[in-house]
Amino acid sequence: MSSFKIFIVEDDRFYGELLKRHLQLNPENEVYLYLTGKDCLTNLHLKPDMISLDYRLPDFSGDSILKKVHFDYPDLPIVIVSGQEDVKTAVYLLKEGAYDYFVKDQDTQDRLWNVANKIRENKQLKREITVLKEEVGKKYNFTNIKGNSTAIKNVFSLMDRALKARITVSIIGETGTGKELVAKAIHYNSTRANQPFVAVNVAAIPSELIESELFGYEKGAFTGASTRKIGKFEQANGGTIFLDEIGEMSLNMQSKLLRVLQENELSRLGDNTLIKLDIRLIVSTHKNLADEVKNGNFREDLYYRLLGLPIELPPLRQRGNDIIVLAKYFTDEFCEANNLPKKNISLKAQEKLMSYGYPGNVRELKAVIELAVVLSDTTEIGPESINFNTTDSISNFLFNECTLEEYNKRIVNYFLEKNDNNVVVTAKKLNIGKSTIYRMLKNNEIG
Amino acid sequence: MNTHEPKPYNLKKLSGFLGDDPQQVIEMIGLFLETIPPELVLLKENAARGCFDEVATIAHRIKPSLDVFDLQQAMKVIRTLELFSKDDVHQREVSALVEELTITLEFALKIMADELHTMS
Repeated sequence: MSSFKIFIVEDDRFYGELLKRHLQLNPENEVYLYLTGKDCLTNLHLKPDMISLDYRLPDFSGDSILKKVHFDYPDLPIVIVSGQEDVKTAVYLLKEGAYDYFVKDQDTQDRLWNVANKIRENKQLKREITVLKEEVGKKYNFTNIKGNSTAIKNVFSLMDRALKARITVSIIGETGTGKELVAKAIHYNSTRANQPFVAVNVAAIPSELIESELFGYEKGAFTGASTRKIGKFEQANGGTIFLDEIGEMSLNMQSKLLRVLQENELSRLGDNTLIKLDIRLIVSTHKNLADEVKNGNFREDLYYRLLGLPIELPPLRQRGNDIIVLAKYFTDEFCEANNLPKKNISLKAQEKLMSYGYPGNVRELKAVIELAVVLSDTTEIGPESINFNTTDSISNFLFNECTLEEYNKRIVNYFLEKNDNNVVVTAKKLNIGKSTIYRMLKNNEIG
Repeated sequence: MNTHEPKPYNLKKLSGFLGDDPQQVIEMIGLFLETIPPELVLLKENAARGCFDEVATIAHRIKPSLDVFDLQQAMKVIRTLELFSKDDVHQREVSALVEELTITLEFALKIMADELHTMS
């Protein structure tokens, strides 16, 4: 635990020493006593975490010290300890940025002790937040987006360009391709990394609530608005807002969003006060927005404003060997998280993984691998542990890109199996002649 | 001092400040005995010169320290002294008050010094 530096500025040497010794009862406190304002100011390079300041000093008044310290260290908490009760002075000093104000009386020791503890806790929390932000930043480092394929390298190249300017980024990709991961990676690697990243899933918010969610509201703005609510845009001010599934936004809301983006300001519902915005906008969709514009479902003016730098995320089936790279990464990650011994993926299992279409993309691959790790009893994951459980059988069926003749054979075979090899029933269902099926069986094309 | 007469001060608050550490209590009594007498000299000098603002400043400065020892009689005088030093009507009474404060405190300091000697 690092020490917590406290300056006590007190012209009564006895009283100052008493406060010093009292605060030193906590061994984490490193307390310095200064009898004049000048001594305090010349020692600020020691970087105190808190100052306890007597309001009346021989060389400076409390408010002039407060202003001088806050000029260089605006966030340094200064507690004014005054010899007399004066509400006007207290209010003035608190408005000027004093952390607290109290009178020297029988409670001084407890109040100073408590306020020091509170400031120390705040300091620790701030430090924890900084560490957590750094960890989040590392988590969304570009190197944590796995893959070596040309398709994903193109994505990296575009992401890199997105970092260099505050341009709106539109991320297009199928479900499970990692749109939010890319949005976070752009934010946490940009100059806005220490500011908020606010993600909003437009599709998940009912249309009648989205305006209040995005722009916030004042108390009494509508029935049920019992308190003020800060909207997502305001929460993201200074940072990045990620509007996921923007294609699902209603036309009415689109026009409101367009106005906010054009003006770079908004007002909460029920209030006319304009709030300036400085926001990086990232949007994503699985829809083709150009088609949505043609069909009248999306405003053309908003489309062009949102397009910015388009980043198209390739579906996993187009990323070749990335499937294996990702599968190995997910295997290691899952084993580590669950304290399991490290496992390898056998060649047969790799072949099976490569032969599938992944309609759910990376998200689906991750689920398949986690199940495979659980199902495999040895340190090697075999093909029997790889189970695909897709609801999108058509895309999976079409994945292998066969000839029409081969597809025909597969269809006939599928229905034969389904109908217990009953040729008559199968022919009737497929509306083809029985002889066609018999011929295919005779030529060993099916069966 | 009559042994049955109550002491003009109380060490309870001081001890509380110092986590009831007797060694620190001894050290801080020593510091108090060292810092107050020069302040009393300054008070007298400034009162004699009619520097009432300075008298008020010194009174204000030492008030919290006197409060730590619960020096009730001295506290009563010093509060009046603080007010009178800023008040034109009562300034002629300041010297008398300083004298009263000096006598009260010198008496308390003497007993305190004896107690410190016993504690050490």
